[in-house]
Amino acid sequence: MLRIDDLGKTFTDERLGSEIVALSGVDLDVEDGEFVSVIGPSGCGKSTLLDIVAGLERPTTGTVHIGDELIDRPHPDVGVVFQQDATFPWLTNRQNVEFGLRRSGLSKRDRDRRAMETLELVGVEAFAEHRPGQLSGGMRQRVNIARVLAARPRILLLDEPFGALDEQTRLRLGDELLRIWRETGGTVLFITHGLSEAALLSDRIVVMTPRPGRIKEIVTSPLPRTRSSTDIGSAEFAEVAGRLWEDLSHPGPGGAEGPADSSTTPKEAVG
Amino acid sequence: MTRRRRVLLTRLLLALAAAAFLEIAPRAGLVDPLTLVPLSDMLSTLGERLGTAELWSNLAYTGGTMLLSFVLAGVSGVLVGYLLWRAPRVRRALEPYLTSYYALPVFAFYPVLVAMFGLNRTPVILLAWAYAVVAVVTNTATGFDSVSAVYIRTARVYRLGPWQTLWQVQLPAAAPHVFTGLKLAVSYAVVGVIASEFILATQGLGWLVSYTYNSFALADMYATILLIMTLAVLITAAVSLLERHAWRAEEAGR
Repeated sequence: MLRIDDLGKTFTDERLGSEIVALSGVDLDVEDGEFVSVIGPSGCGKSTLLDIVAGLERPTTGTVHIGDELIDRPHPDVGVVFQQDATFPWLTNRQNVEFGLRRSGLSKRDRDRRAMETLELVGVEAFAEHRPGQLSGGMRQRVNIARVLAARPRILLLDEPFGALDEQTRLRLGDELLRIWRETGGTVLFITHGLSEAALLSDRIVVMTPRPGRIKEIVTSPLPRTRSSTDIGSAEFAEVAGRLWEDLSHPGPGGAEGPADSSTTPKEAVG
Repeated sequence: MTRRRRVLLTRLLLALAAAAFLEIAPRAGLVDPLTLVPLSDMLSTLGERLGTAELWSNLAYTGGTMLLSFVLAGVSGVLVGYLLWRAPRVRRALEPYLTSYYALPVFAFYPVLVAMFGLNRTPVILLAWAYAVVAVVTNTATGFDSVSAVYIRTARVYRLGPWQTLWQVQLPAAAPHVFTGLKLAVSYAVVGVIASEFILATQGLGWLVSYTYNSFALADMYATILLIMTLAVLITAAVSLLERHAWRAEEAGR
């Protein structure tokens, strides 16, 4: 289980001597095998939240635990997919995926086999010996995801992974992500500013307010685990999306306009 | 394929036109034949001289000096470029010197170097090194600048140490820029060696040009210049070939 307790992060601008509160009082528990999205406008600290969970950034207050382990540096059980293309152009796609296994202690043969299996899982096996530069942006992001999945992380963090892609590709990759999530049974923390993306993919959606980033509400989705992009027309999807939009369009309590401390106990929405 | 063929054809035609001008201009009296020797004379003289041990020993001497200068400039340039990138304040302080560096008449310092190190290979290598190294330094630093931040974050997620990150991520990511610097360094090393030898030396191709010029052996001088040009083209082509092998990824990426 991923446990986030009273997380806060304050950035200090040394030149201006001013402080920016990126996150404040964030509490969140993510169950094993759960798909949780974090949604909010830019500047709400959602990427900072991911950086802290990934162990790339130290929190100012609070802690992140995976099981009993305190996260204060990158952890082998946590995989991270970034929004920017992180494939290495000097390696083939297979070598890129293998890169994720270098510290795994597997033999060369096992690494090769695992890399090919994972490329198959994301549907890029036909381009294993090509280089990322020969692929489209969507295909490259699949390679990025394969590199992370190959190491079989218990927790998968995705930071707006489909943000740079067109809508169609985004929906298709979302479906693939759901399929992989069901097949591998991992825990997913998905950062996005896409309302429909969050509504479609997640078991629960954490809505955040900007400056300071706090949890405004956690929405539980009524969509079943077998959901896919075909549910876009369903009443359940419309209900979740509507709810999220309502939250995002009214910053309300805890937001910039509201009293600063009223959002520390997020209320659960009924799905 | 047809476009490629057209490019090759244009290239060939340009070379032929230049060759034709070199042959016809002195013979037709457009240029004083005592100043410009017809191409056929240059080539036949070159053919004769290639049969002598003297030319080959000069070629080997100059080639060796170029190689030494280039290797020294390449290794030290990449190293200094990396260190400079690591020290942004020093780099900012040096910035105006680095940008104006190639406006300096570096060759003016050659006589001083000869006075310091004697009339041998050392001042030539030092000057060619000084001429070539800065291109490698600046391009290497730019190369490390260009490494995407997400690569570094990826390296951290995979718990790579600083050295592993340098070797496995930063250096290969910076390689295209480093190669640009190395290619420039090849040209600068060639020019640096030839020009230094031309100014003052006891052997080498640059010295041979100057020596034959002073002895009014113009056909020999042009033959040597042709040889130097051929050498320069061959070296540059070899480096491009090396780059294509080491960095096929970039080619594929375009």
